[in-house]
Amino acid sequence: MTAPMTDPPRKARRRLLDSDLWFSFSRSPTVVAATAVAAIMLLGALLAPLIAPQDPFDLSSLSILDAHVPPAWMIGHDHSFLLGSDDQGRDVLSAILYGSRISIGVGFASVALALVLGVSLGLLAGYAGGRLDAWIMRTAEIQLSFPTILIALLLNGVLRSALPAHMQDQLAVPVLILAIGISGWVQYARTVRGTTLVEKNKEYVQAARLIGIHPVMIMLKHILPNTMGPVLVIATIHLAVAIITEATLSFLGVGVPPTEPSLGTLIRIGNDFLFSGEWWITIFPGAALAILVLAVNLLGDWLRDALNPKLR
Amino acid sequence: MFSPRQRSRFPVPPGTSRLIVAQLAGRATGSSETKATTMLAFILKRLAQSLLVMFFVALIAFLMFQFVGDPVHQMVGIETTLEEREELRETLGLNDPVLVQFSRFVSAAATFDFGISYQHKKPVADMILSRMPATLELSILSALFALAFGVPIGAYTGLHRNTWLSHVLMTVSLIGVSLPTFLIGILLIFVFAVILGWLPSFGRGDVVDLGWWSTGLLTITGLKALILPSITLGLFQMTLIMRLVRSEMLEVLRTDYIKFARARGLPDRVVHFRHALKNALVPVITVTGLQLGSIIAFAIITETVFQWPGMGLLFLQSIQTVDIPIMSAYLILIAFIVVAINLVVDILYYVIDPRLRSARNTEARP
Amino acid sequence: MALLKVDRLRVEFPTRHRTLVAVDDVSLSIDAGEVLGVVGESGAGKSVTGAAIIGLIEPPGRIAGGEICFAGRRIDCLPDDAKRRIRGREIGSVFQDPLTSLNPLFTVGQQLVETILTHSDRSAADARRHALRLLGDVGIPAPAQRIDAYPHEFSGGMRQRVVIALAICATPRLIIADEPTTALDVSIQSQIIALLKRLCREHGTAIMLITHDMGVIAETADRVAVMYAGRIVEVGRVRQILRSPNHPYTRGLMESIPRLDSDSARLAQIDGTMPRLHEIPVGCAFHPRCPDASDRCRENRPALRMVDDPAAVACLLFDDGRADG
Repeated sequence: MTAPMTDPPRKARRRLLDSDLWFSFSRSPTVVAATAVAAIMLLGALLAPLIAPQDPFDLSSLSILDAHVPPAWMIGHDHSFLLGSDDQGRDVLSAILYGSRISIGVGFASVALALVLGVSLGLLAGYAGGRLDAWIMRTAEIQLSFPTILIALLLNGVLRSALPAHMQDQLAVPVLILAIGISGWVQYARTVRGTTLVEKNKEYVQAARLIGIHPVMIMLKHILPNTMGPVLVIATIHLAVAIITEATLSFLGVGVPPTEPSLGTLIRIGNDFLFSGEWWITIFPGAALAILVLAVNLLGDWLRDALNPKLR
Repeated sequence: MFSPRQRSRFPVPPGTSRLIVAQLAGRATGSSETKATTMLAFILKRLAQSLLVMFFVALIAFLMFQFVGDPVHQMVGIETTLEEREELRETLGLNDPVLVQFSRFVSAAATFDFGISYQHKKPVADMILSRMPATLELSILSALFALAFGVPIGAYTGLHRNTWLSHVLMTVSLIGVSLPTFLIGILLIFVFAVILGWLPSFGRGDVVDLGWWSTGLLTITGLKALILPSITLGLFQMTLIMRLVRSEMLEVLRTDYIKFARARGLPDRVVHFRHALKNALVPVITVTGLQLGSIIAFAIITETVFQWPGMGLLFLQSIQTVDIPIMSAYLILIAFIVVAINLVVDILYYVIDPRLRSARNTEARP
Repeated sequence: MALLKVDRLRVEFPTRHRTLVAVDDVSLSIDAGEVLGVVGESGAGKSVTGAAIIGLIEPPGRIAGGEICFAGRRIDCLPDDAKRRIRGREIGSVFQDPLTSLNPLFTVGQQLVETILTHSDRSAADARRHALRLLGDVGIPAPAQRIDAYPHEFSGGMRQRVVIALAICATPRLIIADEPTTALDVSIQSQIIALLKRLCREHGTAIMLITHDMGVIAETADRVAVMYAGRIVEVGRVRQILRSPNHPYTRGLMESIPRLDSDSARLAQIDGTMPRLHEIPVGCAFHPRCPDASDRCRENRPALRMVDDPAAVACLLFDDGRADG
């Protein structure tokens, strides 16, 4: 992944859009399908208020009489609940649409946070070198020796309990984003640092330095574009990890509050009904989560292979 | 890190004088001494690094007490007077300088004293110790499961990358990576406990108490109870190991020494399993070792799904009730396990790869 | 009768755009005990020819035509296992880079013993004795002390000696040496060449010496085949070709070797570069760089023709005996 991209920035960008990437994209039906699935789920999440049959957060529209309705192809179904309903009479399909909104939103936000954090620290470490580099990379190393999920769990727990009680639910989502984001910066930093070390000694950077261009400008305009290929790959794979982490924390009951359930929360709620035979309350949100993550993973996998000249 | 490797760059034609031959021979035998020293230096260096990590973790665990809640507030009831509280602060040493408190914290932790749980009013060390066997049995079994399936499947898909079975296995592995651990657990429970009714869906079954260790490995129900949680916990690591072995195999199969092994006429079996697999497994050892720590951490999720009475479940409950002593003790313990494993892995790595014994800088590719 | 006979060999590498022809209509032969040099720039198809002979062309590459006969037996269409039996036992190999040819995780002794045991039914102890003898044979000092060392504990030249020991484990009748000296220091190159020559003489082993270095050929080979863009452009006795190269490309090669007896200040060079596989021009592949090219060189591809037995050349200048120059 750290394969240096030797061309100057503009050429690298052109190569990204060059026929090779497009060729391997259009050649692989799996990737095209994964992209389509990811796009559909993204659209569904964005347009949830418009397309969902029901607003699961509007308690007045829920009726306990509609509770425990099985999916539309089973005995005892109700046509207004395509994927059945839960114990409060909430439409499972609507809950999934709204839930994936939060899952995907938290996923993107924490990836963005980790990316900005990791890329800046990586650039800084690689460009500045010396003691700063040593400190950043040592911190990264220590963090890397602990599983991401543990760090997110701990950060989330500590940050939350440091908040006053009445704000805990209110700030649950930002705290979650912060925890997942901080737990994921290391990969970006290591990759960007590696590329920076290579690029730093290239003639064009030396030349830019000689004519007195500000280091920050050199980092942003000359070095940063070279790191974008690998960073894109990491970000895609990290998106899948972030969505899983959010779902896991929510499943464990320390993520988003049940008043605004994500896919993980839905699975947690439905898990209690698994034994009484109402499997659809947990299995459908679970399937939605699995399909979403699989699609993103497939994209990431393909991107990594397509951008890695060694495997071509 | 190490002194650059000394290379004997002597061109020695067939009829070289005895003197040079003796010198060369001397170098060959004499190097074993330097080997031992570099090995020792290497281990000492890693040990120092490990201590540094433990120091930082202890600092974080200590700071949790400082920033999250007031321990006195957690320990007393509402009716306690301000004077009594102040007295308690004094006896607990909470009015001492932070550095003094920290050094006390570290020396207590070093003797496995993590204080009293806010919630349960019991010594944290005892609580964790009594739950450790459950977690360790689960984790080790999962790791064995992951290795036993991950390595052969990875080797197969690496050697036969274009067969339909490989494509199926790779796709399944990607699904395995994409399924969150808790979802795997739920699905397994749904299929094997709810629908088929073959295996239990929660708990450890009957355990045998060996005094210092309670094991579920000696009873039928205990073993049955281990199956679903171990698969749940091990599946992700299995796919990880499988994909790693596969990509390492592909990489190694492209090397010159594999081509040369073929050119020497060695049978495919020897080339694949003696030469390629051994080289491919070198990085796998590191990853597997590192994953063992990860498995113990992921046990939090599996233990929640299966209501497995281990350390992870305790930790999760302590997060929900902000029981800082348990949280910090768990953190320190996990850190210790991870660091210890890392150290062992590093040493193992060093033992397995002869190149590292004499140099780490020259030929970096592991 | 020739030990190895390659007849109109064609090796193709299908890519997603088109099929590349790496070796095109190559015929050559090697007699027992003879050293044939194969010379050319990198990408000329020398190594692929060598790989084709030992049946180790990297997929998706494949032999698309012609035949390879070894000791009177056709070997290019044998089943994989039979091909494997020939490798190492009948045809040994020496690769370019001794640093990467040996498995770093096994001692040289282990690698020698496993090779010996593969090709003979000696006992393990006997195989080790043979390994020691081989190490001594290729000039490793104090083999008894070095046999249990790992490859990284040897210098480059010593490692190449180990590689040669591995190649001659089963006393093959032919060794394919692919750039055996390229990765070595100049002072060690001549030692390795001397070693190969000595082994060739002592055991009557034939050698196919693949190199881009005319100097090595001049020092070692009996005959030489010059390759360019996948084809043989000239073949003949080394002395013959060194003295009077016929093909314009060979002439260019000769003039680019520094000579002590010449007082010209500059070395001649051939303009341009060899075409890559996907842009080989129509007609004679060399015509864009050829000083003597005429219009018909752009249209017709010359075949290899005998000019001065056993020398043959593939150039239209020598076609039908009408030299235009």
